[in-house]
Amino acid sequence: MKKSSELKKALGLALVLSAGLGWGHAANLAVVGNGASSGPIITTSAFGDIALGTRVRIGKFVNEATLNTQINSFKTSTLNYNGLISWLSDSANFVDLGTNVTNYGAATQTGTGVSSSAFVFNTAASLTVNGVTANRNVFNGSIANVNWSSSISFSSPVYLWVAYNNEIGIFRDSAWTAPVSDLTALTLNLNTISSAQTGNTEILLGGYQDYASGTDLLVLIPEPSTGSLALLGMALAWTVRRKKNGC
Amino acid sequence: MVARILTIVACGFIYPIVGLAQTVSTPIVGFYKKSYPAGGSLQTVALLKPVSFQGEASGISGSVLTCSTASWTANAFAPSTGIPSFYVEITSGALEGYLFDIVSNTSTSITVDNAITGAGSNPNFIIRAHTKLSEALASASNLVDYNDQVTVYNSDASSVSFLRDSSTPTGWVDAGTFAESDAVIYPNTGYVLTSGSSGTYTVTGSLKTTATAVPMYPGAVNIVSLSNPGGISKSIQAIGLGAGLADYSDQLATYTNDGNLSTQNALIYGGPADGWLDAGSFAPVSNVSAEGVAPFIVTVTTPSVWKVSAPLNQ
Repeated sequence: MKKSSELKKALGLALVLSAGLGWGHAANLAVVGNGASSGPIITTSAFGDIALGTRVRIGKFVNEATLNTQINSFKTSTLNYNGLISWLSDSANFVDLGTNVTNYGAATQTGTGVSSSAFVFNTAASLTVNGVTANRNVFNGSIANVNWSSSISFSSPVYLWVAYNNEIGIFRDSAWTAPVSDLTALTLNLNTISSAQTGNTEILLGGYQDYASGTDLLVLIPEPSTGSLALLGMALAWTVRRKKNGC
Repeated sequence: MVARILTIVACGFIYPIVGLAQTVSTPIVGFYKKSYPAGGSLQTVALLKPVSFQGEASGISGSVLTCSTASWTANAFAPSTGIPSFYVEITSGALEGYLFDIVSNTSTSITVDNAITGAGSNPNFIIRAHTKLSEALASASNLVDYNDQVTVYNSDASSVSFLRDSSTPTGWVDAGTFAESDAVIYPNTGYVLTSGSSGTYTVTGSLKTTATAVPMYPGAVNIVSLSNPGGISKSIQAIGLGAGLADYSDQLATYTNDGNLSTQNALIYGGPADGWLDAGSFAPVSNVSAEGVAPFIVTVTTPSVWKVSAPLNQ
């Protein structure tokens, strides 16, 4: 009788240890990037739409110091767009919560270009940007069943980055921090990013277009060399227009 | 912090929805106020909707319960927008305390979502409207749109999360699709509220006067509760939770109510003789309590049922 009881205890202990006490329950990560609650939306550097189906990467950088090094290299043109994308896409550098590669959670979205294993721009919303009301491509939805403890660990900062047509933006906010319980949900809402930027704590790579009213924009930036060319192109176009006006 | 029921009103109900076989006398109705912390917390509903009908079944076949003297409006108890609206609760016999969602009804019969034959031929039963998430937190203060969430865990181990959106009729949208949504909060179960700031809410309704059979599923997050608004605190060893549970396998955890949802007590079931043991030391626990409206989580290896006494009998 005693033997049976001891065996049960041993089995119980093994079960408890293997199951991590059995309390590793999954939580929900809701993502709001559709202009709701006066939030900004993410656009290209020219304030244009990002195509539906474009990935929105949400997760944790394994080494934030290395991330800053990469960003600085990108800004100083010692690292080009493809090089930065390659680094960002490496699971050794970035733990993507919404991808089947790491399988930490399944994207739950409806709309165009959605996938159960990748979080994407998925829908259009009627928004007023700089006085113009139009349908703009945005994203919303959730990444279901995330275990903070086993994926990115409790209290870790959560980042969001988007790459599109040789442009990129990397964002985070202090409110985007993994809870300290696997039962506790998290909402990653772009509206917590402030237009008043202090340092590079929120917009690590990108820009903020703050309008007096309506929806603001978080904009991607092109790699510096491309950006210079684009600015040159815009300057030339402006010059041509001036000349035409002068005729 | 839970206030005791402040208002106890005895009254004879006249049930407005359907014709009556008989009435329930002196239902206990009232309200309680509950605070919630910033962060994550477990919540439950301890006061329910009033009983809409009670009687004795004249027959049961498959998933159909018949009451030949009833004169219900067809589909008055049917689901609304895909969510169960009413349930049948068996109040006598082998399935006493079991709840069944109503799928449809005629003037004299009710179809539920599962076989009900185990209840025998003529069990007593009641019909009651479900309490939904939209109602449970209708009075909550400080909930912020597109920030605060509720997660409800299902029997198939899945979960559904809802984002606050006060502009919708229910006040909640599905956190995945952003479509307006709602959920049933079953008696003696709970949900996780994640809020950016602390607040309070008030629950009004009827005190449950019958026992409840609370199902618990393997692989699922079984958030369960005494659901007693009277400020009760009972030893975990004395709440009748254990029958049918697997020795040295099934577990129970209580959580802090400070927003962190940290595990406060991790217990493992040691069998009828030993009761609940500390999951680390396997020593019987004597100082772990279940509070009236503080849910806890039970992990089971096989489908199990916790027969919870009515609050007045706890």
